[in-house]
Amino acid sequence: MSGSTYYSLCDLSDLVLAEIFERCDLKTLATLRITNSKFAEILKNDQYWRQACITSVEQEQIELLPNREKYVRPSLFDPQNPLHYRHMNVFGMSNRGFLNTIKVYKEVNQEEPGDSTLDDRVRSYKRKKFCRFYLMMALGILVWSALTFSLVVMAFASEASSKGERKTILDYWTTSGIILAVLYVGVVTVFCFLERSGWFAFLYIGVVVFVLPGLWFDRIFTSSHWFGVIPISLLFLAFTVVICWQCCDHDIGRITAYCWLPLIYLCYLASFLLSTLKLDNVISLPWSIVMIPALFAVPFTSYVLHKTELDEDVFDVYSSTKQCCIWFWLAIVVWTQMILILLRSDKVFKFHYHFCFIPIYLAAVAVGIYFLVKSKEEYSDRSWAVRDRRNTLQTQLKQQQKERKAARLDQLLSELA
Amino acid sequence: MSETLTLVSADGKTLTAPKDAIMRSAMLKNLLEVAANSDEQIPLDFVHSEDLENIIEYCKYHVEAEGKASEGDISKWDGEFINRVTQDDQKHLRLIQTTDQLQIEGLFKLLVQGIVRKLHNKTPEQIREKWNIPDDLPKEKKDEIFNTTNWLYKKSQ
Repeated sequence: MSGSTYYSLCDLSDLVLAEIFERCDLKTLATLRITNSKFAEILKNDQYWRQACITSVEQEQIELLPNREKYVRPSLFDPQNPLHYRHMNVFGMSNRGFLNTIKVYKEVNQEEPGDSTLDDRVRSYKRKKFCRFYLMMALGILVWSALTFSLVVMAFASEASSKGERKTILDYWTTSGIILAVLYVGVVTVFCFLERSGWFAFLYIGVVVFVLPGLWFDRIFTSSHWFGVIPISLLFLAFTVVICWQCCDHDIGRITAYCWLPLIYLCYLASFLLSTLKLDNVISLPWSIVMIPALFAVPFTSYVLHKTELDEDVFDVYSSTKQCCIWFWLAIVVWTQMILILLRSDKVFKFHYHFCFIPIYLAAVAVGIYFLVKSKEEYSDRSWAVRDRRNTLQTQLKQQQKERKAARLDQLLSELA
Repeated sequence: MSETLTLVSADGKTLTAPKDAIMRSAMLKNLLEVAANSDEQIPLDFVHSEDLENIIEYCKYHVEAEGKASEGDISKWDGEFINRVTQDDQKHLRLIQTTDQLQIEGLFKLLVQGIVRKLHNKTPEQIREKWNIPDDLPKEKKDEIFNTTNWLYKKSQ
């Protein structure tokens, strides 16, 4: 190395560059990535971003994080965009999810110090946390269900005895479901306010104020089906999609978005369908057909969320789950809407609706499962590809370093000899 | 009086340094353990004399300060030393490469930190100019990458 040589930062070995990049903040990394192709290539490795994120939060440079979601989001649902996968791996989640993860990292370090790797400890921590969460949720739902169902049965029994009317089990169930939903959404709203998530709270309030009362009145004034059902259905569908899109970063938000809103929606559609077809008293078969996907969707979706959360890399969660769940529910909702319109337009279908519904729901479920599997495969491939790339790079770097040191040592020994 | 060693730089300059200071370099330590005779000169043909002087100064200080100076004093000295030796960006890069090859961990980390400080709040153009980096990314690619992280450049609310 002579003094006259003109050095470039690019000339530094990958190991030295790695040391530098590991200490850079997010903004510097982003700048370096557009400075040179070599840097851009090296910075495809998410470990630098991960480290920078943690450092930024630890140094309380939170100002680097807001607004990120807004700019990253549009590409999240564009699988054709190669940056799609980059985002998944580098950022993998939106702002709240990111902050939650950082919080988890910090709590793990405080609560579960030990010799095992951080990822193992995070996994163990999250497993405990999620088990607790699901247990509490299940207990809460059970208690609420029992309470509301009892109240509704009591109210209807009293009303029916005074008017001499007869109510079906479907009436009890539907009304209980709506009350349960109002309670649930109310709790989520309060929770969102407490968490200062104004945007989410706004959405939930929208559901409470506009949609659920609409459903309620629609249920009561059954003669105005066409007037009430279509706008309410569309509004509900829109809310479901928007909430799916926006609320995926929070446990309760995600559970609501993926499980409960579609479930309520299906309950509503079921009651609408049955009353339209004048089949309120024949509840067994159509009710079970309509509820099959909803019934298995709740544990199924929860399982997927749970599994993804635990098994994947801490920073690589949410994406595939979100995608597959949205596809799954959209498929069901769209098909249901279509068949409802068909049924409404031609009463002849009422004699054959069993045959229409079964393949359509099977198709919807198949579509959901197909996208789920596809998404999981892609996601898994992508995850492994990133890990493989990282491991290969690290192995290569170590090998190069070893060879270089050995060569230098040999050279010096020969010179001395 | 501690044992001294003679080191020969790439530009032929001969420098002596205490052996315990030289042992701060993992590479030279390995070398001395395997073969070198302290009476002989050690040729370091990849090290410029100016860098060698700086490295010896750093190692000597740390050997002497160990157990005597406080952490604060050592940090202060390190800061002043790094500021002095990294004023010239070219020399900074050369020194970081040399330190990496000699495997002097403490100095290497300080120099890396120095680079990171210099990179902070710079634009891509400033970085390219400062560090002699070729602008080899097509504009479309740059825009594409930039759009993925442009939130970082927005002023927070």
